Amino acid sequence: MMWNTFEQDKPYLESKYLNPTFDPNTGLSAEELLAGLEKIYADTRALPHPTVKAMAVAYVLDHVRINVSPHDWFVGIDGWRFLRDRMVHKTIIMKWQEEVYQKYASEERRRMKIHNACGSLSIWPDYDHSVPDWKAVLKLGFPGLRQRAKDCRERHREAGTLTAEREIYYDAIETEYAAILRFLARLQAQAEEKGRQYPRCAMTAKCLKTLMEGAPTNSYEMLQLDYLFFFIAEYFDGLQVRSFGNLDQMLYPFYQKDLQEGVFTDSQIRELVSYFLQQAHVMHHYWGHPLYLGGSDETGKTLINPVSYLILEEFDRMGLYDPKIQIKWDKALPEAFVNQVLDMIRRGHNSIAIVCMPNVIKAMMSFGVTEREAQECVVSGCYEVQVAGNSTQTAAGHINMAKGVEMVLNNGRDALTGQMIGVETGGLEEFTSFDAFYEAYLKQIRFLTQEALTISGSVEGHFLELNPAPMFSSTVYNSVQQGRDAYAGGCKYMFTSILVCNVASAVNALMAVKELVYDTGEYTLTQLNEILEKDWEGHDRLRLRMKRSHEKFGNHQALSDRYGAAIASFVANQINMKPSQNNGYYITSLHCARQFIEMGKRSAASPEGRKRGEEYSKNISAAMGTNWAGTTALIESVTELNTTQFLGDFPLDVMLHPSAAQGEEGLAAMKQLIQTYSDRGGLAIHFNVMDVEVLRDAQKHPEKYEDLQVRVCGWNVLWNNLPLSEQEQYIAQAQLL
Amino acid sequence: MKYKAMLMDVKRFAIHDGPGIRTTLFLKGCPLKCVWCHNPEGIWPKPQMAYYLHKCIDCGECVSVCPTGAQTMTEEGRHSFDRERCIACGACAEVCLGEAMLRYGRTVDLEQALAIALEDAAFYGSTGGVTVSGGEPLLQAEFVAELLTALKARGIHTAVDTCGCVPWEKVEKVLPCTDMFLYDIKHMDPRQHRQLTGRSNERILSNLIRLSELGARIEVRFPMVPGCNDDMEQIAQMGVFLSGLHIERVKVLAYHSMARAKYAALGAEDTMPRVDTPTSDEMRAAVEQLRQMGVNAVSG
Repeated sequence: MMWNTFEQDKPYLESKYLNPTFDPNTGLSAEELLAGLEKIYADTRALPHPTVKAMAVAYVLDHVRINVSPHDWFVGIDGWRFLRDRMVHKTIIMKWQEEVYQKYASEERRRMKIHNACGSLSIWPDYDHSVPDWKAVLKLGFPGLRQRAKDCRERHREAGTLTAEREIYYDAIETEYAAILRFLARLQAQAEEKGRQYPRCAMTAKCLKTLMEGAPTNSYEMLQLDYLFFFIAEYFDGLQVRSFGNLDQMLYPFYQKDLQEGVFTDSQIRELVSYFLQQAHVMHHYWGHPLYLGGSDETGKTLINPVSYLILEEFDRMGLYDPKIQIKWDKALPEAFVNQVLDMIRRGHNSIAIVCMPNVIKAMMSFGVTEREAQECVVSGCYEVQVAGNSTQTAAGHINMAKGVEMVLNNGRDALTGQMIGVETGGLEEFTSFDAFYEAYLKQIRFLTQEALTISGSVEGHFLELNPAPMFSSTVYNSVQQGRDAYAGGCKYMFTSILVCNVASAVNALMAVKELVYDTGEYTLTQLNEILEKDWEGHDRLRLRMKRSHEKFGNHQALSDRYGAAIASFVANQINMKPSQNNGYYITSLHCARQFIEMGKRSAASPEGRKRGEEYSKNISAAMGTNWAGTTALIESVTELNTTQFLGDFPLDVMLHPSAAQGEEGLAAMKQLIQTYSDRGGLAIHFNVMDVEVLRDAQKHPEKYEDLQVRVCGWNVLWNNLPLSEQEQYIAQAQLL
Repeated sequence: MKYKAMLMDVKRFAIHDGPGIRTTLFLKGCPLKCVWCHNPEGIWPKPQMAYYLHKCIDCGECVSVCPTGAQTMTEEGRHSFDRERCIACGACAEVCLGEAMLRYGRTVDLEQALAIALEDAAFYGSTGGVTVSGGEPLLQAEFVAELLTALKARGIHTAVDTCGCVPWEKVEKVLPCTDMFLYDIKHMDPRQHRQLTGRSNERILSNLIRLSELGARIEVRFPMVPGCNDDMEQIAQMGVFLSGLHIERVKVLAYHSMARAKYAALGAEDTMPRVDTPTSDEMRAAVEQLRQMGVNAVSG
């Protein structure tokens, strides 16, 4: 039986990656693969890295175990527990990283280690925020992408411009694509053999045959290609593919054609979509597997189509939180679609994020992107945007804005380790006014920003040695035409994002210093610093007082809003449009990923009542438990910032009580909240709709809440997987609702 | 700016006090004393202190700022609050580290109230706006009229949430500046009404009739309290009465006892019925009963 089988196939799908069984005759074990990759690294020290990378990827594709199952429409690939750590990355790329740092940036690496350990900065080489040109992938398929690269190579040869570098580039693409086609042939042979017994495997064999020969011709082939390209690029080639693409637009032409020609029915395509979504769900990695829906064409007409609804409905029915879905929000979105999205969010589908397109377009255009490119932008990762098919984006480093206060209090040193991580701004007795303290804070932040740019920049110019990208590059026409790796100048737009973290905590700490030392004069800076050094020991009353001190960012108070906007802009002005080492530009993000937790762990107590090691504020949101004036005030505060300065990302986390989202009134209120956020310039917004009683009950009875999920930052986790301390933070926030 | 108001509380992002996203200003003082009242801090027209014992961490910060000696510490280091001595100045609430002391009631003038009401104007859109509630806001009708007139002049939708138990002149004062009335009906029987709220319902019903005759936009709210006003005969009578008026809809609100802690905090006698929240079936039955009488009823 081929159709209506999802529920009976679910046990296989659930175990497909987590507890797989593969025929050992189909390839090597994961341990053998790792050993083989180690050998490739050792044997190829003299070869150019694009050549080695392609050899490594080809090696994995040729030897990884495979399984075409009658219980699945999508092929199975072994070694998941190893693959998810990206074995090529682990065995080869990370060693190249070491080499590149030693060769070009040993001093920067030394400083990077200190900053990372102290939580002042968080930096590592990043290649993980780009999206292939899905249009090209679907139009050309694997063979077409290979042929296009061959054609471009030939043109260079004829023109006498086929340099040694270009030869290496094209050879690497050829090696990878030849291996991909061999890989498809292996899968196809197995599918054909099993197809004698199982009709679905026969269908899979036919699908793979088409993909071996060219572009997809129907919905099934399109989804299989999307899945295969994503999987190989993400987990073998080792460059995260930060989106499955705008799946509704990608699938719709095939859907229409299949219905017209009777290839598949609506319900069959629906079932294929649910198997597809299930792949991402079971592959789950904490950063999630995104796809996005919606958008408008150049005339302003919505691109929402029947497949947009179909995907939402299947996602809803399956109760998934990965893939995570982003919605391109604008006024052209059909009301029915908006209502469906918001209804899902309020029922707990909080992995859905909203991206406000009018402001995204404005922000992108202010960085030199054309209007059309901005309209057609890709939404990727958590909520990031980029030009489709002709851009790379890397998240090069994170700056801890709250650390600046600690650095002023310790004359440029980290309070916990004593390491020098900033500049000497003088003894505390020298700061006779808050303005003087604030100026010193800005000096520390300026220094950290410069450090982030210098350290990340020290390796950004060496991407070809760090992690060449043959597979990704092959999709980017600009790259293939030039014969230049996409990460090494082959894209029109190469944006390097610096993530500015913990802004609300920084403002709250500054306001606390102002109040305690300069407004009331109750403590000297030295006394305050001594209290912080002791982690508030013996000063619990003062700590509680500072925690509830009402000047906290996110409550639409003039002073804290002004400082929030000022420090965020201060950093953005130093970062934006600064040329990067890989011929692109720096952009600023206010997204902090996990760094609000990690940097908090490495930082001393701070004046706003935060204890040593506690987390900071998340993204652009208020610090946990301080949004006393509620959601509307929070939106008003954050949109006081000059949002177009933050092309990298500008995400707001909103927590709502279920009563604020229930009924028609609740739906209308959510809509109005998003629209006002968008009207005021906000870029991205997502919701957690939750009740403190439910969260408490979930702590007591985890078995009853196996599906309860919360959106942490740009991704979702199951409530039961959160550490107790993080659960308590959510409860503290929910108590204010 | 002749008048001032005694403001009890403000709720921003209110979505159940009229259409759209609203800001609700709760004014202090109410002529009724409903046994189930979930805003008991709104009854007394002057400021008063609430003491949430479970939040007190015995920090003693309040003791040094209290001007009357109402706040003291025992020899064992436990905090003690003498309500008799308290003048509700609110100094203790300013310094209370556990947020156990809370002051309900502050005087605001028109400018201050307008600033509060306009803070979220960006969110009101075409449907939302400002609601004045209570307590009973029409006890301060002159101030409400000034506030709502100023809001209407700025194109903001206005609503008054009233129990209706005020002289008609008070209602009349706000008529020109009120886009919508949220009007409570608690019981149709005057004797029962008096028993449950301390006052008869005659004035309430006659004011509602007059409002309806004048074409005001009205949403009636019926707080359904098991054992007090949930018998079907009573609800049917209400349906008959309301069906003869121009009522946009009737919202049936389910009683809950979540406000019980407030009574203890205020040092007030807890009058809240010890009954369960109506079940969804019971709510549905009440709504259906009203609908059968030709009333557009919904469950709130």
